[in-house]
Parts: sequence; structure tokens; C-alpha cells
Amino acid sequence: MPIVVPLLLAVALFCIGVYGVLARRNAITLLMSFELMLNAVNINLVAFDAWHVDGLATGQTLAVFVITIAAAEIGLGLAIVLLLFRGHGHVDADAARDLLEQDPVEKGVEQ
Amino acid sequence: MIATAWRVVGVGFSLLVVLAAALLYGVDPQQTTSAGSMIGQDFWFSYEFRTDDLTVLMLAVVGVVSACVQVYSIGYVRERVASYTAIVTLFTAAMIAVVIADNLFLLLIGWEVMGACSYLLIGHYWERSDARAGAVKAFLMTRLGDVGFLFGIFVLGVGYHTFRISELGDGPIEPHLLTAGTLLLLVGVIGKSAQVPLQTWLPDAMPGPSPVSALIHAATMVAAGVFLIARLYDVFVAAETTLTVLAVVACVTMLVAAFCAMAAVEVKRVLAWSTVSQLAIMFAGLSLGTDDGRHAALFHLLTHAAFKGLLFLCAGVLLHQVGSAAFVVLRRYTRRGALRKRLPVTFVTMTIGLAALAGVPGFAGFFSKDSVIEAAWHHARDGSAIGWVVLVSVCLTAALTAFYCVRLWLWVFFRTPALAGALGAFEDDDPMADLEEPDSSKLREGSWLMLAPLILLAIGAIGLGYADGVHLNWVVALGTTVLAVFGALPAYSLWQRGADPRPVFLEREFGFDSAYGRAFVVPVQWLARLAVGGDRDVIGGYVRATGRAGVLASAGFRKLQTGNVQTYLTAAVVGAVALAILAGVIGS
Amino acid sequence: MSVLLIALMAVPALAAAILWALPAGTGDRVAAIVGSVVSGLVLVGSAVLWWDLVRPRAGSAVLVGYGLGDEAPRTLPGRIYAHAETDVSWISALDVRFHLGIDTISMPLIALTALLVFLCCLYSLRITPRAGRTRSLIALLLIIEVGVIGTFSALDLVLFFLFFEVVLIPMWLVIDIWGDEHDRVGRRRAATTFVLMTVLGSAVMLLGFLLVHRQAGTFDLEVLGANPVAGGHGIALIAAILIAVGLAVKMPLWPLHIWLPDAHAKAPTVGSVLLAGVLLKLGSYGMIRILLPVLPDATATIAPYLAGFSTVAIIAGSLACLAQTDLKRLIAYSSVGHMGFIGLGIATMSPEGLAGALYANIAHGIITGLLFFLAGAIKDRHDTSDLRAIGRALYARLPRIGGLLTFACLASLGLPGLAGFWGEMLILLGAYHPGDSLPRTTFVVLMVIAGLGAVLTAAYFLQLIRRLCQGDPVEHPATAFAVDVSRIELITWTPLVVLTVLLGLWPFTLLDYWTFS
Repeated sequence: MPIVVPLLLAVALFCIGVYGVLARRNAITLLMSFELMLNAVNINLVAFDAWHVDGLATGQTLAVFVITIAAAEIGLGLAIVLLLFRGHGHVDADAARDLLEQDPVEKGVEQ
Repeated sequence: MIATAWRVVGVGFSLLVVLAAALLYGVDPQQTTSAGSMIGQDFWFSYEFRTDDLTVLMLAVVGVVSACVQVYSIGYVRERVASYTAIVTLFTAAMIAVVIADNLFLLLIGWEVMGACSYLLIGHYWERSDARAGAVKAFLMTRLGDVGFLFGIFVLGVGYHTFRISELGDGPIEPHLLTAGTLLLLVGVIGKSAQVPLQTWLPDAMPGPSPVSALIHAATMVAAGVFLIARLYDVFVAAETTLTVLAVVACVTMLVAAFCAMAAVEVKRVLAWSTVSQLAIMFAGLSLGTDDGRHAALFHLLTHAAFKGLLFLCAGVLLHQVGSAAFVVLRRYTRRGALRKRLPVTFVTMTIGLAALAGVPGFAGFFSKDSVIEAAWHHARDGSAIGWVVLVSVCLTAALTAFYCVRLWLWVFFRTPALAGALGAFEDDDPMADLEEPDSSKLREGSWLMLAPLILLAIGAIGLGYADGVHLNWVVALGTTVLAVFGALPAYSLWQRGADPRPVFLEREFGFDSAYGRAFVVPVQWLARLAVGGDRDVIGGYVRATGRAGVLASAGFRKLQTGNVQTYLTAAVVGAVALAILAGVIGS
Repeated sequence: MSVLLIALMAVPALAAAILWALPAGTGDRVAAIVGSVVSGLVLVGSAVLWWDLVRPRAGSAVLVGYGLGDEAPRTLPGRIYAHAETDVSWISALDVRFHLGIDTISMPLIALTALLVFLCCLYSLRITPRAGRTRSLIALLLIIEVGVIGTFSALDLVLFFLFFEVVLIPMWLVIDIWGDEHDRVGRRRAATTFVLMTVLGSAVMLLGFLLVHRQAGTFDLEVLGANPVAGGHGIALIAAILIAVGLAVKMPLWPLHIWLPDAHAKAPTVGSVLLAGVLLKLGSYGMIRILLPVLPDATATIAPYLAGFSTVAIIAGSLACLAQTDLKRLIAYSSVGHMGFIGLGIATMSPEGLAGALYANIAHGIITGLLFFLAGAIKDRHDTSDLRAIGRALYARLPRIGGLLTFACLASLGLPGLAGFWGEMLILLGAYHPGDSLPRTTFVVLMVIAGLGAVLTAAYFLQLIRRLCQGDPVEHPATAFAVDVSRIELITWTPLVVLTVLLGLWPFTLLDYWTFS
């Protein structure tokens, strides 16, 4: 089959993944979409490797790397989501604004 | 003890000056030269001195008057004696510096130190608000003149390429520079000698001690302007415009001042305006541009120093004994002639002084004023308009002078034949008009320390007239005598009727003071508040705004920290895409 | 290698370190004694250095700070005839050398610094701010001395910048910790404004230095003086503007002067004396040392603007003084006016103007140092520097202090016969006859305005004397705490009084150094 087909599939999956990362509130959905993005990249790599065969099988090697890193990252991510749930009682990414920089309470600002 | 030491130093220094004058009399003119500093191609300063006839004359005047004043002050001044005597001695030294200087900057140093001493001495009675105000006004007006003086020195010095007085006038100079330079010097002279338009400081300087008025504001500092023009006479003669301006200023001043003297109600104020007027006569003589005129002006300076110094010292005795020199107060002692009988020496010497001032024949003022008129007449006969103007003004002033002299003499010492209380002369100022005559039993003549200078100066007021050799022009003499009589008669008749009409514009002294206040003082104070407000609100506002801007900017940037992870990621994605597009565009 | 010059800086730095190493319980007297001894040594050292500079040496013709050019002498090329030189390579990667040296322009300023620091330490023997910790105060004063002497003797641009910055933090500490004890917020604000504005100026100045390096290839002032950066446009002009702005903040020149009144009003007595007497000289010295010789054409382009701002400074400073109610702020604004005169003198680019600016620098340091000592004395006796609270009739209550204040005011307004006159007068003469490439009419107009500014100066000083010293003593009786001049004050102030009179009546000593013919 022409190379375009798997590439289009990868693009589609990647865009769905980006949408999911940026727009979904549930933290686990966030992680799932991120996985989708990583796997889309995998499809891309494998497709290019099949299309342009080189002696080192670069695409397939990189795909294996990505799978490994994805697995490690999902482990860490889920652990953080778990802690988020334990602390806040929900996994809503929008509502978790603990890093927000508050404007200082007016305590005689004289710099 | 310190006070005594200073008194000794003061009197000794003055006598030293007289000795110097005596030793230098008749010696050929000479200059000293010494090492100095040269900067660039123009500036040159060194301590150089010169002597000539003018120097000897001024040294004699300054020395004698200063000695008289120092001796008189021993009896007169009671508080802060040490500082007073020290400053008077410093003043004398500064005047000497002016007189013997051969470098324009050395002259300027003496000139301005005199102004500072005048300020400090007028403010000797700093408990009184009129003394404080008078001191500040004197210093500021003379300082304004001195700035012009400094600029004049620049113009002339750079124009002639020398700052040495002996060499000024020797080389060539561009005419407009000469005129500008001499006009600027004239500004300084006008300030220092209290001519119109800078004349209002001198009458207001009268709250100072009377010996100070005698020394500084009659004989020496105010005469320094006359001295300067006489010293630089060659330069001034070459600048005709300046001489014309000087003539106009002098004529206006002599009349204005004489009119103001006619309406003054305090002895010292009358004498102060009279000083302004007589100085103007000297300047008028100088403005003629002839050697006659210069000689006459200097002659008048000499006699004026004697009789005006005498008059101020007599006024000082009156102040000392009575406590006030206002007409309202003094005339209350006239019922039994207390002042005449109990202060006989003062009365006689004051009469001599007033006679000299008024130009009574035989006294010094008569001769010196006549010489000025004669010089003016000669110049007018040679076809000069200035000569005519000067002639007419001086004659008119002579009449007015006689008027206010007689007025002063009669009202202070003699009881008006009209009943007291009638016709309202001075009575509207006098809240105690209907009181009995005050107790005059405590009135005593001053100590011999105060009387000896009076007698010496009185002798001078008579004798100095003959110092120049008597060469009278009988027409002029007769003319001035007639004028003096014309001036004296109205004064006598008004006194006899017990009237002293004083027009409002004369009492307000032509409104100069209030005009200056509105034109200068008020705007400057407003500008001062503007400057402070500008600093606080505008410039300070910019500085505070910079600080606020920093705070606001950081507040703005803080808004980016939403705490929402997805916002951060969105920003990262958008940025990455943009960079990719950019890389693609730049790469292709 | 000049050991003496380096010692003049190393000894105070060492002494400061020793003072900080002393145990915390060290008394105020001990610290002040150490400070006095050290600064006394520095004073003696600077006198020796001065004598060494001016003694006749075989073969040397004339000792001028600036060398003669072959062309028309009304411009001022800037060859430096440096003395007591130290020139070693320091940071070769940045082309920075450790190049120190003095000449007749910097030597009087170094002596002035040494004298004022010595007098401040003497003063602290008996009179210290209520905040205590005199040990640290003296140490900071010595660090400031190191920084200032370093600035005056630096002959390398980056070294100059370095020493320029050294004085800032110590001064901030002095104002913040030992300043006006009634107004904590005010003195923090005053100190911070001072530091921030000056640092901004220095940053801008450093940019200018870098541009100069880009054009000329070196930071060394001696080399740059011999081969100035020519051209009045482009990079040279930008560099000149940057350097001028940077130094103008320090001078201070209107409108960048706003830090000065607050800093002076809130600083302690010794802080004000040093700030006014020494630190303000850094800006004008920088202009004379760097701007004029290194960028002559560019300076000629900006000179009219510099002169204009200076004249505005004279007038605005004098006007602001007339409306002041705080004694130290009034004297601070008078400094703004005096620095305006100095800026005008530098801008005229003529021998007289420059000599006048240099003379006025020295005179201002001495006279304003005396004025601030007196203001500090009055403030200590009345616990406030507000004129309305101090009252009037000081001639009756504190006659000697009143008399000295009058003397200092008369000196500061430029009375001939005292030190302030020569600077002012020469500056006006320089404005009358400015450098060849400058517009004469503008400068003459500015000269007239500056002359009127001199009258305004007299006005506000006389108003101060009238308000403070004169008055009816019945309404303002003496208070028990206000005693007249004490012995230490007399010892500290007498040298300044004597110098004022001496420099007024005998200007030849200094004027002969700056003949610029």
C-alpha cells in the first residue's frame, strides 16, 4: 500500500491525542490521550521504516524505545493521578490549580 | 576683652590707612606686578596694586571716616561689640582692596566683600524685623548689580585681552563690546550706589546702627561706584552711549530721591534719600565726560563723605539719647528746645552738616556743588545736550535739597509757632499727640568718644570746601544761593504754619517697592512652589511610575501562571508548531 | 608599580576588614579611634603623594592634567601625564588592565576625600548616630574611601566602573541603618531610590564604555586620550550620550537629581558629608576624565544640551530651595544648583570653564561638607531638621553655630574672597567664551541665566539665615539640650573653615595646575 495511508492514520490518531490532552478534564483521559499520541508516533516510525528499508532498522528500534518510555511514563503518571485523587477527591485537571501564583495579600507593599 | 582688642585693632587699622594716604601723597603713580595665574588665553589673576592721586584721595576719605566711625562706635554700640568691630574693620579692608587694586578680580573681591559686610552690619540688630528685611534687600539688590558687574568685567577683560586696570583702555576694542562692557559695569555701579532703578535698598538699610550708615551708606561703599567710574574714566569716556545712559540715570535719580526726601518722616530716611540724590549729582558730573566733571564729582565725593558722615553720626546721637529718630518723637522735645539746649554740640554740628548739604555759601557743599554745576555749564556751552540736562537737574536738585534740609532742621529742633495739634502735621501718625512733653531731664550730650568725631567732621564740612583752592564763578555761586533760598522759603513757611503735606505717591516713594514686590518677589515665590511641586509630582512621579510599572509588569506576567497544566501544555504545543513553521519557512 | 597609591586603597580596606573581625562588643570609641588613625594615615599618604606629584623633577616641563595639542588651544585634547602609575594586565580575556595613576586633576580630589573621611572619623570619636554599631559605620566609611580613591585613580574604563560601583552598597547601608531614626520607611525608600537610580545610570554608562571599546579597541584611558574616538555621529555619539546620562545620574544633573534630596535628608551626618563632599564629585570627574578626552567631537555635539540641562538645574535647584522647610533638603537642593554650575563649566569645553569646574568641585566639597556638618549639629540638638520646629534666633541660642552657618552660607553662595567664587566665576567666563565648535549665543544666554541663578542662590541662603539664625529671641528661648559648639566639633570644622578662606584668597595653588594653555 502507498505510504500515505499509515501516515494519515498516524496523523489522525495524533490529532485526536492532542485534542484529548488539551481539552479533556479527566486526568486519566489525559494520560490515555497522551498514550494515543505516543502510539501514533510509533505507527509513523514503523511505516517509514517499512517504506525506506535501511540496514539498522532505525524506525523499528526507535518504536521499541518509545513503547518502553511510554510504559515508564504511564506508571509515573498514574501514580501522580492517584496522589491527586487522594489529596483532592477528584481527578479534574482544570480544578487542580495548586501551582497558581496568587497576587500577594496587601501587607504594606513598600518595595 | 576680645571686644577691646578688636576696638584697638579697628581704630589702629583706620589710622594706618590715614598714614598710608599721607605717605603716598604726592608720590608718582606706580603699580606693582606679581606672579599670578593665567588660564587659557584670557583669564589672569594676581595680587597687583596701583596708586595714584585717586587712590590717595580715597584712602584719605576711607581712613578718616573709618577712624571717626570706629571711635564713635566705642561709645555707641553696646551689644555684640566684637563681631561688630571686626566686621567694620573687614569692611574697611575690603574698601582699601577696591581702591588699591590693579586687577579687576581683586577689585571685585573687595567690592562684594563690602556688600557682605554691609549685609551683616545692617542686620546687627537682628532682633528687629525691619533690620532683617533691610539687610536681605540690600544684599540681594547689590548682588544683582554685581552679577552685571561681573559680566562687564568679562566683556571688557576679554575685549581688551587684559584684566589689569592699568592696561585697560590702552589697546583697541570693538565698539559694541566697549559699550556692552561699560553698560554692564554701570549695572553694578547702579546697584552698589543705589541709583534708579535699584535705589530702594538704601533707605531700608537705615535700621542698621548709625555709625554703619555713616561709614558704609554715606561715605564709602556707595561712593565705590563713583570711584570705579573715575578709575576707569578713559574707558568710560570712549563709550559715549554709556555716558548718556549714566547722565539720564543720574538726573532721574537725583530728582526722584530729592522728592522722596521731602516726604520722609524719619531723620535717617531723609539722610538716606539725600545720599542717593547727592551720589546722583556725582554721577552726573562724571557723565559729562570731561576732566572738569570728573574733578568736580570727586570733590563732591570728598565733601559729601564729611558732611553726610557727620549728619549720620549726629542722627546716631539723637537715636542714642531719645530712642527714636522719627520726626513725631523728636518734635515732642521741641517745646522748650530740649534737644538744642541739652545736646548743644550735636545741634551745632548737625546745623553745620545740614548747611553744607544744602549748599549754604561758605560751607563745603556749596563749593563742591558749584564745581559740578560749573563743569556742566562749560560742557553745555560747548554744545552738549547732556550738559544742559545735567545743569538743569542739578540746579533743581539744589533747590529741593535746601527744602528738605531746612524742613529737617526746623521740625527736629524748633517748635512750630502754630499750636500743637492743629493742622495735623504728623499727628495722624502719632498716637500720643496730646500727651505732655516727655521727660527730657535724662538727655545728655554723648560722651567725648562720640563728640570728637562729630567735631572733626564738622571742621571738615566747613574746611574741605577750600581744599581745592578757591576759584569761584560768581554767577554760578549767586545762582545756587538764590536756588537754595527758593528751596528754603517754602520749607520755612510750611513749618511756620505747622503743616507738612506729604503727597501719597511720595510717601510710597513712587511705588518702586511694591512694584518690585509684585514683579519679582511674588512670581519667584510662586515659581519656587512650582519647582518643588514639579520635583515631587512630575519628576518624582516618573520615578515612582517606573517602580509601579515594574510591579504591574510582574503582576501581568503572574497571570500566566494559571496553575492549570493544560494551559501550559497548550502554550507548549502552539509554540512548537510555530517554531516548526518558522524553521520550515527559514529553511526554504 | 606605585606602592603608595595602592597602599592608599589597601590600608583602609584592610582596616575595614579588621574592624569587622573585631569582637562584637567593641566600643564606639575604639572603632572611631581605629578609623581616625587609618584615615589620618591615608591623609598623610595623599599629602606625600601630592608633594611627590608637584615637586620639580629634572626634565619635566609643565605639569598639567591635559597636554597641549598642536592645533587651536581652545579645544582640550586629553593626553594624560600620569604619575604614580600601576599598569598590569588583569583580565586579558576582556582586555581589562589594572591601570592606576594620578595627575593634577585627580590629586586634589583624592586629598579632599582623604580629608573628609578623616574629619568624619574624628567627628565619630564623640558624636555617633543613635543606632550605635559604630564599628560597622566606620568600616563602611573606609570602604567608601577605597572606592572613591580607586575611582579617582583608575585609568582603565572597566576598572573605573568597578570602583564606581563599590561605593553604592556601603552608602545604601549607611543611609538605611544609621539614617534618620524617626522615619524607617522614609530612609529605606531614600536609600533604595539612590541605589537603583545610580545602578541604572552605571549600567547605561557601562554600555557606553563597551561601545567605546568597540570603536577604539581598548579600555585604557591613556591610550584613548592619545587617540580619541573621532566623529560626532553614529556610535561615538551614542556612546557619549550613554556615558553622559550615566554620569549625569551621579552628578546629579536635572532631571535625574531626584534621589539627592531624599538621600541627604535621611542620611546621618557623616553620610551626608561624604555623599555631598565626595560622591557627587565622581560624576563630574567622570565627565572630565572620560567624556571630554575620549569622545571630543561627540561631546561637542551634546555640549549645548548638557549646558541647557545644567542651567535648568541651577534655576530649578535654587527655586526649590526657596520653598524648602527642611534644613538638609535645602542644602541638598543647593548641591543640585552647584552641580549645575559644574555641568555648565564642563559643557563649555573651554580652559576657563574646565578649570572653573575643577575648582568648584573642590570648593563645593569643602563648603558643603561644612554645611552638612553644621546641619547635622543643629539637627542633633533639636532632634529634627524641620525649620519650623527648630525655631528662630539661633544667633541668640547657639551664637557660634549660627555664625559658622552664616559663614558657610556666604561661602556657598559664591562670595568673592571665599572658595566658592573662583569656580563660579571661571565657569561663567568659560560660558562667555566657550570652545570653538560650540554655539556662542546659546552659551552667552545660558551664562546670563546662570548669573541670575547666582542671585537666586543668594536669596535662598539669606532667607535661610533670616529664618533660622535671626529673629526675636524672646519668642524662641534657649533649650537645655542645645549647647553651643563642642570641642570635637570645633576641631572637625576648623580645617574646613580655614581651607575655605585660603582657597578664596589664594587660588593660585590650585589654579596653577589647570592652566590648559
